[in-house]
Formats: sequence, structure tokens, C-alpha cells
Amino acid sequence: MLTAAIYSTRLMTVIAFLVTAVSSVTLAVGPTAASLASEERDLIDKAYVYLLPHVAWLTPLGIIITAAGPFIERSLVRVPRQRAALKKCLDELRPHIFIGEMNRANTPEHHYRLTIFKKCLGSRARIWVRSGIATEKSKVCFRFDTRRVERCQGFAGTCLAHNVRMGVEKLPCITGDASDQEIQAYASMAFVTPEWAKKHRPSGRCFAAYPIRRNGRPWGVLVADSRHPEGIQSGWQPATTHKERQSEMIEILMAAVIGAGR
Amino acid sequence: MNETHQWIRLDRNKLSKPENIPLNGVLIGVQLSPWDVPDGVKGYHDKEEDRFRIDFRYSDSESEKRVGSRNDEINLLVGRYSGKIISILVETEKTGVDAVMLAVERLSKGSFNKRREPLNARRNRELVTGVLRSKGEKLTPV
Repeated sequence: MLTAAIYSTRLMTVIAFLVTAVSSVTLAVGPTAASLASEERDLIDKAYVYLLPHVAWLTPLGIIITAAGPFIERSLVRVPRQRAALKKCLDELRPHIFIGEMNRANTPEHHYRLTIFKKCLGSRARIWVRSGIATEKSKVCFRFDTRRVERCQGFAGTCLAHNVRMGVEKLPCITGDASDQEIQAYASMAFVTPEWAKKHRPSGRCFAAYPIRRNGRPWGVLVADSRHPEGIQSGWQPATTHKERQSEMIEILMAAVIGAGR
Repeated sequence: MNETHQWIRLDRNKLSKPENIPLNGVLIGVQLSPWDVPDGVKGYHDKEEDRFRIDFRYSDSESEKRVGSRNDEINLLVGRYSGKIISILVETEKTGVDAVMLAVERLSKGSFNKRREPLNARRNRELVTGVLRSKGEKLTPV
């Protein structure tokens, strides 16, 4: 399906380019008055007669489609393909990052979720892809500021600014009757404002964040969050050599998938 | 002058230990990203620069930028985006142990950059200083 889409986008771009070229050439060269007057017209003359009334809108349209082709291909084909690959990757990674009840059959996926935030325009970190289905359409985004890190929002924004792995656990549970003290404690540990915590009532009680880079340049951040206060295994601070290798793989794997999907 | 072009391998597991540091008024666990932890170091005389050069090997190939002017005793080549230390160039009069000690002394003082140093660059600088302290003698050409 994706392959068909990518080839149809490219075909459309090629057709648009040819139409532009033919209409431009037709307009520039055109047939002679003698050949137009004669009964036997060749193919170019026929094309000229047919295209002449449409050249005014065909040429700009062709130029626009030719120029927009790569962008259309990227947004319709490459980005969805990259997201699909990353989503698969996240699903594979989940058992290596979370512990506890995650592996039980009746545990909802969104209680132990992995999210990739991408660095976007306006110094924002937006959700690029998320494991599971329940909260994958979330529009939450966090601000980051590499020069004034105290202005960063959320674990994702702070990790993106500091460019290091970060982890925190045992955050207070924010329910409807949470005290101001609990909300304040949660806000400090999750790098959000108390107002934000009060409004959104976030359910994550344990976070780990891994910066993702492409050719050294910060690209985004992978955030693991769990509703269990100690739901993330020491994946970000591995205990054995084997886990260390696995843990190192997280950033490298992400960068590779992102690089391959472009 | 002899040149030591052999990489000295570094144990990344031992170098990059997670630590709890105060951020935003609470203790947050922090660990350097694997991209910022070197797995090798070597020291040699750079003929082009005419300086004693200490290189650190990383798992990525980030482009580098120079920090400091050519007249300074020490120049750094740091990652363009991450700020990690990729190479240290010490003027030739200060070779051997002197060069390493000078680098350690200068790095211990603080950031080379006038701009605010990001957390990963600061921790990488501390890590590199530690490596120079422990492996300094091996980097020195005999």
C-alpha cells in the first residue's frame, strides 16, 4: 500500500513536470502560421492547438505540483512509514523497560507507555509516536529552552534541554482529592507547574527519558512513563553488562529507525 | 618525539554511572547519554597543528568546532551540537605529563565557553577530566 502511494506520488510529480515542460515549450515555440493553415498537422501542432487555451493555468499548476511533490511524498508516505516503524520498535522495547504488572494479560497498555517526542518549531516537543492505542492521539506538547532550562516544561522538555538521560520514580498520586502539597511535589518532580498538574491530573508516577540524536543533533526524546511508582526497571541505570548493552541500544536503535525512515 | 597512536580502551559502564543531582529543587537521576561517553582515548603529537593532541573516541561521528584561539595554551575541539570534548590540543612546549596536567587543571576550572554550559557538556567535561587523571601517564609519549 505504502509502496503504491510512494510510486503514485512520484508519477504525479513526473506527469506534472512533463505537462509544465510541454505547455511551456508549446507556448514558446509554437507552430508556424503555414502549418496551422495546412490540413496535415503533426503531433506538436495538435498539442499546441489543444493546450493553448489551457496554458495559463496548466503551467503554474504543473510548477506547483512539481515543487510540492517531495513535500507531499514526505508527509503522505515517509512520515507515516517512519511512525509505523517506530511504533513497532516501541512495542518491542516495552518489556525491556518496564517491570511489574506490565506483562499481566489484563494490564492496559497505556499504564506502561513509551512516547517519542520530536523537537518541533517554536521550541516545542510534540508527540511523534506513542505505544499502545488508548492515548496515542494525545496532543500534549512541552516547551524547552536550552538557554534557560528553568523554563522547560515536562520531563520531555527538560531532558531535551539537558541532553542527558533522566529518571525519577515514586511520584505522588494525583487524584481528585490530592492535597496542594502533593500537587506541588508532583509538579517539582515532573517539571510542570502546579496549575498544569491540577488541570491535567497526570497519572504517570515514574518517568525515564532518553535523548535521541541524529548526527549529533538533538532530534527528540523517548519518554517512558508508568502508573506504577516503581514501574520502570533500572533500564536507564542498568545493573548488569547485558542490560547495559540493551540500554545503550535504546538510543542507537531509535536513531537508526529515524534515520532509515527519512 | 615518539607518537602513541594506539587507542586506550575505556570501560563505558564504569565511566558513566547514574547519579542523583538536584534539579528543580528535587533529586533527579541523571546519566550521560551513550553518545557522550568515550570508549577510547589516545595522545600523540599532531604535526599539522604542532601541538600535543589528546583524542577521545565516541560511538557517533558528530562534527566538531574549535573552542579557543590558536594562541591559547589549550584548544578544545568539541561536538558542534552536544558540546562534548572530542580533542584537546596543548601547545608543544608543554608535552608529556605537563600537557596532561595542564589540560586537567584547565578543564577542572570550568567551562571554556562563555555561554551557559549544558548539563551533558558539563558532565562530559568532568568525565574527561577523570579519564585524564587516571590515564594521563599512558597518554604521555616516552
